[in-house]
Amino acid sequence: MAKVGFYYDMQNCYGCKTCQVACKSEQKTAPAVSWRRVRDFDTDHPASHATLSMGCNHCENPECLKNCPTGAYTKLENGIVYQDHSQCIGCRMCTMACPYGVPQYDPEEGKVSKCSYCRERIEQGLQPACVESCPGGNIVAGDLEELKAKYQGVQELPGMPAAGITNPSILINPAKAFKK
Amino acid sequence: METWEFPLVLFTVLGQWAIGLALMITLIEYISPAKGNEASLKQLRIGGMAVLPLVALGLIFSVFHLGQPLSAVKALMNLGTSMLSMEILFFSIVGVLALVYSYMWWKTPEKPLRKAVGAVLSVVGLAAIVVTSKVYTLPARMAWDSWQTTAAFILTAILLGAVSVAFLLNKVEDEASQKAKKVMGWAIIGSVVLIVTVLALFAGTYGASTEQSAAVAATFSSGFFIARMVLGILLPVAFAAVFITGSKKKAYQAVAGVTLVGVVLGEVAGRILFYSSVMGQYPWF
Repeated sequence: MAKVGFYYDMQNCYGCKTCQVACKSEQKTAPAVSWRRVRDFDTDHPASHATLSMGCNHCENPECLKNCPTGAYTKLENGIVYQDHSQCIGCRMCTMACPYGVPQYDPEEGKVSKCSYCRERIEQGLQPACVESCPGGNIVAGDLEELKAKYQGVQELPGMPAAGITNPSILINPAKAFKK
Repeated sequence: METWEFPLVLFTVLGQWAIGLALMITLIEYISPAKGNEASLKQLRIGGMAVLPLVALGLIFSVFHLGQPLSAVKALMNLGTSMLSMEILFFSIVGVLALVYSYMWWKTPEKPLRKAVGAVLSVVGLAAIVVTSKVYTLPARMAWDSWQTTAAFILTAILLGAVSVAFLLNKVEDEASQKAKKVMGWAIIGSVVLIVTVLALFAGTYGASTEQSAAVAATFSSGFFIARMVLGILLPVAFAAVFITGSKKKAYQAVAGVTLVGVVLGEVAGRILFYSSVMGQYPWF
């Protein structure tokens, strides 16, 4: 069965954060929580400014799933790393274990939550909210193997966690400053 | 996020103290038995009875780390891959053994079976400490993902256990207790030397990554580090030297008490640094 992933065109992204807002609006996450975050990704040599939009990478070897003591995380057949929120006890092991800081703790609720690849939307044949909202079409969702066949990209950039830890299901077209 | 992780600091330090205490009492019982010396037995009995409250307090504090403390029992549901689940299982077993051990010291201190229970508790307890250290050996958190975490946790148990037993036997002057105190003195010196070695090797990892450098810098620039050096390193060394070199092998009881409190606070300071040097960097990416 196809395994989902994200292709992200960093080179074309201009950091409008519409994806971040759309995610928050769709999932109605707590004020302290953003399932998708747009980070500044600047370099000094050469001087450059870029942004990196990232939700959950639905890794092949998810550290959140491995370390969660309640078994709240499941790797679904379609590749989505899904958290059963009712099982979370707020121990924050997943927060510490994830290289990408994806699972986020809400001190008000006392629980951690994370991007579900908009599972409910996917099941209705819709796109994840971040993908649908991006004005530049810079985030593409789909079968990871098909994305790899269609686009050139990398799993890791300088300054990012080593992809070897979890094998993230992500393909990034790097900004110019990161291209050799 | 809370960077000190104080409930976890107290859970790990108190749990390791309890295990170290049982280990050192058991060690003394095997290598230098009191042989009917009531004063020595009475002092060791206090230590034996203290094991259960220390474990119990640690476990209670651990629950306050959770956002959902009433659902704490769910933490046992992923024993297949989660080291945190394994840690809870091991500490539950340690808790039961500590209950039996402390009860035997309280009600039946004359029974030799207590030594065997102490030995089992020591072995399971050391395994529990190793499992605890594995909770933090996360590939994403380089500063924790090292054998140094395991070594530091075990050394905490040995240091606190040895200082506690030396404190308890301080006033007792029979030959067996003198020998026991000398053994504790060497255990203190040995563990302090190894703690300093582990810290030095940790300092040597500066530059390995941005996160690692920040963790090393946060550790060695903190006031907690100075507190740990003075209370957790220098104080016990001076205390141990009395038992190793002194002809009477005895310190003023007040000094012994201050040393015990100081070493516990020193270990608490060290554990605060362990958590805050990494958690203080959140979000790491």
